Amino acid sequence: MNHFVVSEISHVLLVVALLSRLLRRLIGGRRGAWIGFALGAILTVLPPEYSPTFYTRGLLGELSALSLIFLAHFLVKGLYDYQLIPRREGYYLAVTGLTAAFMIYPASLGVNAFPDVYEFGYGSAGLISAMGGLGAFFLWRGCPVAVTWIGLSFFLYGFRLHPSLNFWDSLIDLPSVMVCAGFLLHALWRRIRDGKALAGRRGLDSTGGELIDETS
Amino acid sequence: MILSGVFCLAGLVAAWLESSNRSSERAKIRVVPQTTPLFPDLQAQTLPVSTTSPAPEVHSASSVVLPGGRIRAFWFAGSKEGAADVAIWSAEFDGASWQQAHIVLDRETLARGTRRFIRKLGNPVIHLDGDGRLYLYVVSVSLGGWSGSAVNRVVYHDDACGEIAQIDRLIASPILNLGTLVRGLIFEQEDGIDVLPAYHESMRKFPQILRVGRDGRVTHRKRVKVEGKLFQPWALVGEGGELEMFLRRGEGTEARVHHVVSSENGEKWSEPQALEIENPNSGISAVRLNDGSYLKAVNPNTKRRAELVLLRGKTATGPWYHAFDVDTAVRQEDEAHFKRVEYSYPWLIPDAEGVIHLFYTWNRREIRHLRIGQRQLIDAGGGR
Repeated sequence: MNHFVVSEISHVLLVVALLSRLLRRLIGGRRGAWIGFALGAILTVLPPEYSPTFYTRGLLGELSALSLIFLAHFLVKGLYDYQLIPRREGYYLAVTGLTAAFMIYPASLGVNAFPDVYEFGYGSAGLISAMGGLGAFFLWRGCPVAVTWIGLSFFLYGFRLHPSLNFWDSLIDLPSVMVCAGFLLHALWRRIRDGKALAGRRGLDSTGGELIDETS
Repeated sequence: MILSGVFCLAGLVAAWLESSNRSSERAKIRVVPQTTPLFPDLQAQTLPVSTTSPAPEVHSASSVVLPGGRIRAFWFAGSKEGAADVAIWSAEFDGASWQQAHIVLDRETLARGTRRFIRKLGNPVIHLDGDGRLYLYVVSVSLGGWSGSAVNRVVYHDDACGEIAQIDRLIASPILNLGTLVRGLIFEQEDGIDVLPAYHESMRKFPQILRVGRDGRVTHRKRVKVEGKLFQPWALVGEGGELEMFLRRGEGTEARVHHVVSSENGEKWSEPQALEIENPNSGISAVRLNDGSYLKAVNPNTKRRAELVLLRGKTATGPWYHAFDVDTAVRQEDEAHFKRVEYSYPWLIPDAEGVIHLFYTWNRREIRHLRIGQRQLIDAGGGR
């Protein structure tokens, strides 16, 4: 029964986070975010057929711990202008999320060249131990959000709070993997842009230097 | 930081305990013993099952033998396959005739039960567990075509399917839980876990075995590696409890029925072997007869579903002998005006008296029921 509650909470979080973000853009500022939050909260208590969670669940299925972390981040950022996931941790989350997706998605789609790692998620102590090791790594690197993500996945799986009994489904889902990909692409684009700007500045400096050299 | 570390450690302990609980050895599949080898000599008789339902299009029958020898059949019906008005219908056979059909599940009920939008319903597969409870596994789609499918489980309070006790959504795929379908006889392990021969249909098509616990959640999934498109498995259990499956072929794959055998309690599977039986990309069904031979319902053609026959083989890989013509391309009076004829999606089950029951889609207009004594099949299909 508990997994119904967790499923419901995660989709309510999705709706309020999305509306909060949307109305912050439309209306502007934290006031818009709070209006979106309130609107989302009201909509989610409507009878099931009218609730947006009825459609988000149909479209996206059950959400993972990584999605919950991202949603919490978007919500807190919209409401309080507070960055829950620092950029450095964002890299860790994104790279780990994408690596996990690369490990399980191809075989799940029937690509024979890949071993079916998703299968191990149904009760492999080895997988849990490996993820524990990853949690320890994040702890060592001083990444509290990433540690919380791994811990939350363990809780969802260990207490059967997630509708799926497969650990991978507690860890990641497609929407969170897409956010990870978006984050890395955005970071890459920013790096290229900054690199170009830096190169441009260096170009100016070097030109200036040559001019100085000539005059001296 | 310390707080998140403690949180992670506590979670790790819980996950580790849960994982060690579940990784224990899987129970064997329950084999129904056939203590009395009966070879009844019942003449073939075909009965209409679905004519009492008003829906213009019907398809994909599944059936189960209930206590007392009654049979309950399920199928989907509506204005056309994939339409929003498609519902799961059911009717009961009392040994002489079929009762009035009624809806046992519609789209709205499933949507309410799973708390999510459902666009259409598909294949129903029925299973009666050791405690006499009926479990209806049904395919549904929330988004897109059949490759966007997922499987749901509906539990009924009684075998009349009047009231629903529980509805669950199975999660069997990590990618938005899409692409899983069922169509084939379900087995039960000795510990009460259901074993579903299922298949995946999205980028590729392949068979898989799902194990579903009493709480309606998938406890294990095993992908069967195949080259090309082989799907819609029909599984049988050998005397040692090992599974074997006959597979429908998809487009671009050799137009024959394929066969795979498992070992290590369904953990390992053989390479698919193409049998000598042609297959036009259509569903197949099989059953073991009381003499240990195999009976298979197939469309023995590479292109069309216009003939449906029963074949008998002494082993799973053949050779196969013609045992009975269910329907042939020769048009009967009641199908003279059809553009094309189609007999498809066979579902074979034996009853306690050894009579073989075949359910199949007749021109998408009716579900038909053929019952026939095993003696007739054995005598016709290569003898004993």
